[in-house]
Amino acid sequence: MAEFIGTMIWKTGFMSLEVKHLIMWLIGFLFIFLAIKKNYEPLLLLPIGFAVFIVNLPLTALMEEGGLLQIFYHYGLEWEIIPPLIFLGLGAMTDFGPLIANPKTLLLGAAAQFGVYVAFFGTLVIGFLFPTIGFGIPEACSIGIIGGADGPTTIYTTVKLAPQLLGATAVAAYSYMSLVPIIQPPIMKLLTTEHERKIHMRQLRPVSQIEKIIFPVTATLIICLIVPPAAPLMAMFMIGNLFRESGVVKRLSNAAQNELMNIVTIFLGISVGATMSADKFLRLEALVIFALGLVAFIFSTAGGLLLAKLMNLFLKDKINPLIGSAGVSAVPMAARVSQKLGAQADPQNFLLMHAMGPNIAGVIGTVVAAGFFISMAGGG
Amino acid sequence: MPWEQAVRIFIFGLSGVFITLGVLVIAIIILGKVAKIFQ
Repeated sequence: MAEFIGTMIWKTGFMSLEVKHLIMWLIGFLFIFLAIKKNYEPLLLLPIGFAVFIVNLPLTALMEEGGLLQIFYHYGLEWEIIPPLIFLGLGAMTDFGPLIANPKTLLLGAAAQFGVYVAFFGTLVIGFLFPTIGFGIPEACSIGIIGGADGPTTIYTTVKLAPQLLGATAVAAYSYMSLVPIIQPPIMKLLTTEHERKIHMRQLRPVSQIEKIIFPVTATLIICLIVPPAAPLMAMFMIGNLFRESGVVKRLSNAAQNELMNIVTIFLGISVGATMSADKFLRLEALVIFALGLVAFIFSTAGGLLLAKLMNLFLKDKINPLIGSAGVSAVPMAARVSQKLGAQADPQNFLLMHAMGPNIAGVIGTVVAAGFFISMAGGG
Repeated sequence: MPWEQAVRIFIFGLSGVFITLGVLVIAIIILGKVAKIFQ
């Protein structure tokens, strides 16, 4: 009897608990706290935080072959189902009107990918200086794409190129997205003058329904022909938008925006959190990834701003450079930050709709950058 | 470290993003003109 009880005690999780598990619990609880108390990306940080907690409960085997979370991860992320479905929902939620009304803002979305390439090179330099860390080109692409501040694209690229880094890159991307209102304003103030922040932009022209309907088809055609690996994300983004703009499939549009988006978000959060087991996450690489992600984010913000300033040298109707920083995807937070700083400089300055153009362009730009990474780094 | 491949990814990747979105800018401008004609 005593032997049986002894065996049963050894089969409980208590006997296999290690300090590393407790550290991961704290990280999981921190995410849950940030989601509930600070409202930082709660839709994702809450399921991620809880998944981090449960995946680090010893002997539960949730992420081992056939385990529940492993099944979510395998079919959701490894099969590349979840990120494109998220893009379907995003497309159904997106109004391309501001982008179509002022198409040159697409270039700001391109410039805001600068940080992606800075972090790409930074990762390679670290990999060269510290070979034991194991960073090569696929890892550099996955870390660099954090600078696009686009969670699903970061996940999609990482699963394709460096799946062992998924937990760290996904959490870094979503953390920095939620920290946009804190990270961006100092850079924006540093790189613009008071006079530039006060620039009023001309009101956007109204965009016809026919333009809004043709745009997703045209964009899919152009982007998928130039960068075929971007097709899964871009095609789903645009079909979601076509649902919205066509006006004839309101049920599908609503389902993509609400039910489907909510369901997929649950599985995305759980699957990402499930990758953060102590063995995979408590490594030097994770810290380096967070640092490089921040560098990427800063340079992306600067890239958009500086191109807007450069464009102003040639444009008759000046652009407020503050909208350039919105090119870092993070929709719509980055656009709101542009609006806030513009209004601080001049309360009569309304930049929100102008900033939505580069903001949406940033999403497209990040997907294109990811497509080029995948095609050139051998992932697709 | 395959620096040559890295430089290629940097140059073609960054310029590729600008070219792709630049083509999209031109397409939107043409789209606007065509839509105007039909209206």
